Amino acid sequence: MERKLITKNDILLIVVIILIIGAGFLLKSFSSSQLVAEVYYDGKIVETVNLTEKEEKKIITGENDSVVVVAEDGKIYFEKSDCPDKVCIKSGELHQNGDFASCLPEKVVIKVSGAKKGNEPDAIVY
Amino acid sequence: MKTKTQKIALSGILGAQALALSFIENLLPAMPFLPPGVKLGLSNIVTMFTAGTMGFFPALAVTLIKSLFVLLTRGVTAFFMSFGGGFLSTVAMCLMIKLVKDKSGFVGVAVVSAICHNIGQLAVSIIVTKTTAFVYYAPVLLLSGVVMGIITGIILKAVMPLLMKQSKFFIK
Repeated sequence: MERKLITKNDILLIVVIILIIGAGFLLKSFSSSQLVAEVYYDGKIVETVNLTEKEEKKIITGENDSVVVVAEDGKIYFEKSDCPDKVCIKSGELHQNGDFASCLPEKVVIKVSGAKKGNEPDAIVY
Repeated sequence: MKTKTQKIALSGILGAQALALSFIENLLPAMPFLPPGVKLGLSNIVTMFTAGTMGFFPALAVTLIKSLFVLLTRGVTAFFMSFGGGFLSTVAMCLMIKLVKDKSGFVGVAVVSAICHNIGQLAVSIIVTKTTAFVYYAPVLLLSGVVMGIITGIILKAVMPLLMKQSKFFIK
């Protein structure tokens, strides 16, 4: 396998990818006024927590109810899980729009996003 | 490449090396500045070497050996994560080597395969959790793919002579 270490094409490729990443982070940072955390188990929402209003909740979910998710002080995090590698707990506290943590073995996902207004109209004009 | 037996023996050795590298990587303490789930991907060095010198199927075999070890030690979910990423990155690196040829260097091949590895894992995690929330993690995974790809590409270039020497020991 004779090959150079790096070519002009490689540098071009890396620059393009970094631009895409920059755009992605920019999109993520558009924060909304109300932050809402959604806790999913097996693809379904089990709990919604309003972080802006500093709602406090302890959510028990997971395969054998072995996962504990805690919401307090405008933050949400995995407190306990029976999974082997604890990537979920190491993800730490989530408090920004687009923040996200998961426990794959237990099929639990936490996602923070801007609040959806639901069916409320944007404005009413008489 | 002379006989089938020699090829199988060499694939086995390379598989063992990929396995050892990913094991050593797991022993390293988690680095606090790295986001969760982001790893160096050292075993990718061996997979790339296998893809470059022996072709697609031996490289896939190396990936499978590694993933089967993950199945034994860390369970089914981890296996699908490992093989989902490994399969996509092996396909990607073989396409790079075959189609792009010397327009791209070690770093280019490594970056593309690292990114494809992360995309494969992202896809598997979306399927496992039935949640699309993982898409939010994509920028982080792309960035880590670029950084880790550059690092593994440089290491591959550096250890190339040694790996070639090892191959000659099996295939005279």
